[in-house]
Amino acid sequence: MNYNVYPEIKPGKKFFKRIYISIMMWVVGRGIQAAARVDKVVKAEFLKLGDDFSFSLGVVPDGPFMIVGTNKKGKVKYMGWNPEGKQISLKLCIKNIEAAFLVFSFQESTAIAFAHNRFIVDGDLPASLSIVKVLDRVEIYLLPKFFASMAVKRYPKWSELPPLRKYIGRVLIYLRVFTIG
Amino acid sequence: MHIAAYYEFFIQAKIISGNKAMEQLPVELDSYNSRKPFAIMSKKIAKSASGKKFIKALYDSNVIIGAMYDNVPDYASISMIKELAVLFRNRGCDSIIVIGDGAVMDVGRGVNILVSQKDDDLLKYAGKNILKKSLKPLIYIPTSTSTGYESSNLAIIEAREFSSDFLYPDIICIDPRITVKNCSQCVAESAMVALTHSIEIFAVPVINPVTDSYALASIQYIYENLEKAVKRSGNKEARLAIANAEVMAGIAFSNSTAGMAHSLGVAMADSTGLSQGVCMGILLPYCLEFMLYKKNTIRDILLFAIAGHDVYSETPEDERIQKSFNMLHRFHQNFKKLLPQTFEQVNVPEYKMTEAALRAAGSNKKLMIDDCLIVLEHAYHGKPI
Repeated sequence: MNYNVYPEIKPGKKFFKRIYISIMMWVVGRGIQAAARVDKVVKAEFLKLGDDFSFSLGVVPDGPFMIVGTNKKGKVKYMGWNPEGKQISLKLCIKNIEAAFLVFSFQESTAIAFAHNRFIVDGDLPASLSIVKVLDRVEIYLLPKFFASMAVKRYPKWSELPPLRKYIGRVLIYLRVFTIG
Repeated sequence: MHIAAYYEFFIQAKIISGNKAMEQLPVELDSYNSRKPFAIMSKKIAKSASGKKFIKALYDSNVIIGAMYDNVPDYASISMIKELAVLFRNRGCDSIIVIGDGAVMDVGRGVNILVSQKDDDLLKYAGKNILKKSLKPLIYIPTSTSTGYESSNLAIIEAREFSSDFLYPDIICIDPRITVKNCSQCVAESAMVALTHSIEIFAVPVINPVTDSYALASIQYIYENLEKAVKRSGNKEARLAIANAEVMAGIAFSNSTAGMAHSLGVAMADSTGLSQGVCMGILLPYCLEFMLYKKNTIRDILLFAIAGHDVYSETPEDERIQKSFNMLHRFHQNFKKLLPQTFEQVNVPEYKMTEAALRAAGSNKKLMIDDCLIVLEHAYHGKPI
């Protein structure tokens, strides 16, 4: 047998999907920071998680990542994409880039992805459920109803999130995402 | 429901099935501290471009494929296994991924024995429970033409049987991108093998509730999806269901004993050169009919698996077995374009019946030659018993 016919195969990269997920993580990360100032539910969830809480959401092994946490002043802040050197209380890792693409292209909701065992949770499990709730809430603000209803576990009724509040919140969050944060 | 007085059940494999299942492999390999798998693939699968899909699934991970051998024929030979073991060692691989069905899994198991035992003599390990220590991680990616033996603890290499609990795959990864690319006839044949194994679970006198649950799910998946799966090869959902059914049947079979249809089917396949699926498909209804005739126990839960809850509930208890047998006959007839209904149709010479009966009675001590001959004769002409 000629062994050279069967060479070693090094893994390639899925550039398009990596770029797409990086952009989505940046928008969602900044969106969480903005939503914590605009929406009461997101604010309350972070208050429950306490001071010095931070979490990362990323794809193993090489990213992309996003880090969000509470700073010394108690404000929720998007802390960038590099987890190195940061003290992170909760690490949420998606097992591969395809699973991340399913989540961020709204083919699979965060709750379903959790149920499909596509996440690795390193940290407090109740805190991770709070973060899933925050992610759902932010997606409701960021996305039109058609996409958001595919991305979240349950789209809120009018009584839970009145349309006026939703649309004002959406404008404010988008303004903050692309300006002051 | 009958309560089992005593039973054992063993399954080593973690099953990952569904959309993007292959992408989960790097994380799973990491849990075995493995970074460099050795991939083995059959010629058939390599032609369908499944190899490229597999390589692409491992993108953006830290897994390097040590080598991807995609030239396994339909027969597992010791010389090839030895050469692949050398390639495995030269590349410093630490696990094995097998993609395909039949002989390719036997080759994978053979290579695993040699590299894990650090030995070159494979024949030393032939037999039952000869292996005494665990092997390297073995990952199996089935197609929809797997017969189920691949998920069991059995390897057949050059007509020698290797059986050990260490031969179970560690991970079975069922991905629709791999299961979809198979010919309809092969799917029907392999589903018949799985169906035979699952149905015969209910004809074994020893009750094992865990094996029953695997067999029930397997029968239901085959009944609901085989027609769709053979009608359109692109039906991902149906093909995935069939691959799942075959895996479950294989696991159930390896925790049970071989029945009459299995033993006779294997013997006929060996004697005539027909596929096991064709032989078992023809023989299964006649074997069940023969068991009914002999008043052997067949549990009525078989009807539940075949027809569902409603039909099972509305059928009187003493008619359930007969009804399930009738439904099974009709089910097999639905595939008459793909599966022959009698041995006469495929021009098997009649003297092969005696040869097969002797072989079957030799391999399964519970079978009598006369009984085997009765079943084979009726299956030959398609006459009810």
